[in-house]
Amino acid sequence: MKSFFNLESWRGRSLRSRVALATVVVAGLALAVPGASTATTKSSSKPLTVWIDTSRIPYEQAYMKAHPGANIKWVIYNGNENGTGVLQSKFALWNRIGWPSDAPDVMFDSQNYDAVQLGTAPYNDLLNLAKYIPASVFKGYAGHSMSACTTPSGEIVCLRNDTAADVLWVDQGLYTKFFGKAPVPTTWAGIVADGQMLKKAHPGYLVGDIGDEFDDDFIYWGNGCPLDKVVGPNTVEIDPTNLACTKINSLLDNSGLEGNAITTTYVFAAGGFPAAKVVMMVGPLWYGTAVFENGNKAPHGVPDGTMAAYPPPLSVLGQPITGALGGGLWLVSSHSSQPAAAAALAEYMSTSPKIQAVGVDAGLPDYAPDQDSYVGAFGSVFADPVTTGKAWETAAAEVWNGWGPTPWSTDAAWASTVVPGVTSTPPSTLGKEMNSFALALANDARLAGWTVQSTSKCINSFGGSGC
Amino acid sequence: MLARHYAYRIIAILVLLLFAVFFFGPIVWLLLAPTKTDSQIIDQTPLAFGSFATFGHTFHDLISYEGDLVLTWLKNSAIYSFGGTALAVLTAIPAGYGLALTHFVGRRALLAITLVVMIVPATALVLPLFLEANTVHLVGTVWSLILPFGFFPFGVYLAYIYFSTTIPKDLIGAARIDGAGEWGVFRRIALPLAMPIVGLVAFFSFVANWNNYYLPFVMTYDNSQYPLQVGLPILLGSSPSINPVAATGGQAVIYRPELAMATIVAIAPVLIVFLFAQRTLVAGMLAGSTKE
Amino acid sequence: MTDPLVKVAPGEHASARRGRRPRWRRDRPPAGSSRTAGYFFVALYVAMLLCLGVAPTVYAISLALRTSHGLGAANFVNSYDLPQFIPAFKHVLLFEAIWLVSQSVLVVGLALMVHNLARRVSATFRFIFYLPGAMAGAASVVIWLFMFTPTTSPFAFILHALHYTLLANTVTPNNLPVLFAIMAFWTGAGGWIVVMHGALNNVPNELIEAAEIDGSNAFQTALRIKLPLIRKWVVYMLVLSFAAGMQLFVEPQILGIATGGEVPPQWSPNQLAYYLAFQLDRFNEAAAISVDLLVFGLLVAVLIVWRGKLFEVQ
Repeated sequence: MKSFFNLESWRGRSLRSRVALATVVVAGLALAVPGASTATTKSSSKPLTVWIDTSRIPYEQAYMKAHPGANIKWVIYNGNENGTGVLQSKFALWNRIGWPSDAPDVMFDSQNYDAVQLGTAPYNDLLNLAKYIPASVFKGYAGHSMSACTTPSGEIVCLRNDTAADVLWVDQGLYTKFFGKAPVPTTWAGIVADGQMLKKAHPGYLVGDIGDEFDDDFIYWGNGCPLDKVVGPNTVEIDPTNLACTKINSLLDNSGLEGNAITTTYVFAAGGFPAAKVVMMVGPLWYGTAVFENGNKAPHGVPDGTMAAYPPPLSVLGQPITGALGGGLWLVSSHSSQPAAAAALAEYMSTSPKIQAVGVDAGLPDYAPDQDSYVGAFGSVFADPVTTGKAWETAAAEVWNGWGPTPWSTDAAWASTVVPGVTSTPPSTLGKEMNSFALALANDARLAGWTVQSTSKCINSFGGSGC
Repeated sequence: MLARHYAYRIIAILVLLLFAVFFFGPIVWLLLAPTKTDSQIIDQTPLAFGSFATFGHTFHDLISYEGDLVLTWLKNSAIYSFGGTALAVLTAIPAGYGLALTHFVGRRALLAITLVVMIVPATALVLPLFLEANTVHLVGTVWSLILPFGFFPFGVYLAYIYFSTTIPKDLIGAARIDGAGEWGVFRRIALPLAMPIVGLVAFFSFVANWNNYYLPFVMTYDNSQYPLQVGLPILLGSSPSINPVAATGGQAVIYRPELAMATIVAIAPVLIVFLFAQRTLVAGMLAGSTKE
Repeated sequence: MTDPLVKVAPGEHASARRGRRPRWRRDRPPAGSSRTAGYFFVALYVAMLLCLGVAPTVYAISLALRTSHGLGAANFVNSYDLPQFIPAFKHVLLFEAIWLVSQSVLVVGLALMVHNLARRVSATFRFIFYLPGAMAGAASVVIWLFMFTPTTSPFAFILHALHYTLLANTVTPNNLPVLFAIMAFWTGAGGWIVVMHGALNNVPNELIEAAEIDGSNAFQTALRIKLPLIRKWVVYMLVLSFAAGMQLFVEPQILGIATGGEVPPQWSPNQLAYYLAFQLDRFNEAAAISVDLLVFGLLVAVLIVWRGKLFEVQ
């Protein structure tokens, strides 16, 4: 190592002056110059800081219209979407250094599984709303949806915004053309049977989709397959051998439809999703506008008044449950200096018809009393708005509460295990990928420090050696 | 023999052209993408040209996203990067000179520590840096980024190599004998010869600062404080082309052309610097490896 | 104005003269001010080094060693036991292997080819190769996102030949090391080609002419004369690239966001450390993983430098 710095150094014979290199030190370094700050408050009291995502901008406008001059600072952020974990990372840092004065009091969060994580150890950063909001309000939410807001110790740490329950979308025109007056299927087996008829007689038309990065929410959540079932504090059941899981897998894998009538392209595929070819499809209620309307131009979109929603199919074990994809939460920080005002704001955003009735695109309010006026404003966007509206409300109440909330995304595990398999050439099957999907979920759980309960040898082995 | 020589040459040119396509092709695609609409990007051939009108439309969509948030991000990137670069040059050039051409106890140790710090994973330091910044109440200010950006051990090492190989020792010796103080030596001999290395260090520092993602992500928490690099994934998440759930609410304006345009905005300043500094860069880089 | 050192070919070093004492070399430090003058030049840098380099590193190490029972190795053990730990290192090492081998071969090969061309042509090629270096980080990921999507990519013919029709096909778990190697090569190779080109300029013409007179063709000249003389730069490239590559973060992180999780959020060790710290609020284990990366990078760097006799300044 001596060869390292064998640099010739010149030694001057005499130096008369000393070096002063002080010019390098910029005076400004000693001053802390504030950076780009957006805080402006006109009144003397501190404004409430509310974080929302771009999709909630109409909510902000509706609120300010109903409360002109309200002392609120609205901040746009990314809604904590899709695994970016903005809230988790900010909270973790603020818990160490102290919460800044402009930390948010109220937040909209697009990830439905965040609340329990942020409201329990090690975070403990969410307000227990049960202390500020009457219990009758909590009862107003659809079905069991508030279980995503209830911590194991019984605190209520969030309010639901909208519900993205899965319904059965049907193209009325196409359905009548191919199936006449036959009633719309009410089971997955019925959908498969219709698909097999279409494959034979009218190939190219679709009854479903398994190529998306979130289809586990329809296929497993909607069928009661326990892959994300919270059974105790920090304990999750992940059981791919459960009858519900094996039944839906074999139904779909043996249908002969994967890759044709059950397409493996995805709804936001770069090639455009052939919405005009969909005869029926299980999907969240916001597919109606976002996927199917989609500019109304065939083949990537259909005209207004084409699609109608029907109640979601029963699970493979006959239960009236369904899955969901999306929606959002309203969170209130437990570090807020104005907890009552913040809780009141969150309640208003979540329950007021003035907010929740904003536009058909925004998603059905999870708060049941607001739902009727919401679906009443459908107009002619959907065929048969009455049936569609009823289907939406039914589905919202049927969302199965055996899926989460856990502090990891099941969609991410699905996307990294099943999607590559079923979209490859030649395609794999759901049954073949099941163990790797479940194992990925188990790994996520163990990383988060949770205990995994399972009857599957694969899941109970370390590192998947038993798979 | 001559034929084989020419055959080699032709093969070499073909291979070089192939790689030129590999390196340059994506850039061409990127520049053409905002001239097309989202469906045109998919339906037309990848390198087709759309229209200037569409280009303008895309630009408008991007700039109007959340009240010219993208321009704010651009401004932030500029402040953090230029500030950090200025500081980096101010510290690295004298330090490299000192390491190369003066002699003091601990010189080798300092060099060794510099090399070690260059290898330390930056992500390991983010939390400690954040806690330090918080202790001196700098979190949320531009200094929380400019100061770490100004710490540029790689630049010190480059300057060290440069000064030790391009400044002739006898010149320094002569100046010292003449009675110039160390500062005089630095100012009169080293600095005038230092333009290439200043350019080089400034360039590398600027590019590294501009492209830094992790530190700004942690040090800033307001959308309006993000630099472009941190904003770019935010745009990705707001685009229904990437994230389906962003389609709800009907507010989406960011599709593939806008994403491509945002990427162009994110790289344009560095590209411009590349183009202008190319001569200086190459000269500076070669100065470490060649002697003229 | 020439420096006497110029006559030394690159790779050679004054250590060859270790037995002799060059006339300008003194071991005794100079009297008086020239020693302290050096301190002034490095003062600001040293201050920053201590505050922004050394102190955070020490703090990170202390975080890693802090357990609920005082100082200990519990965080290292616990993080090692996580199911994602070993796969993350496997992923990154596979990426490094693919990337460094191909980059070394291609950078040297392209530099040699470019070196033989006419000046203007050579400069143009080097500029084109160098251009993507401006796009490191998030921007390059967005660009390559479109390049990897068969319906938007100008390289679609390659993807279609592999039967890829969706982005999900390209970004399957097994492909990831190759994809990241492609991205890293795309942004990094150009700069190193320029450096190699400069190093090749340094090869004394007499040596090349002598070899050609002896009947060596271009290939043999490259192999026997040029390569050994630029070896130190190849080693330099390997060390710096290896260190940077171990810290892979932005590319898998953003690709993961863009594919809804098809690239898991703990794919690389750095991502795992980030996830532990900022998603699960477990900073101590995150610090342990960062220390693992640091030690690993240091060991390999020291190894390569020692064997490659690297830090001999010309």
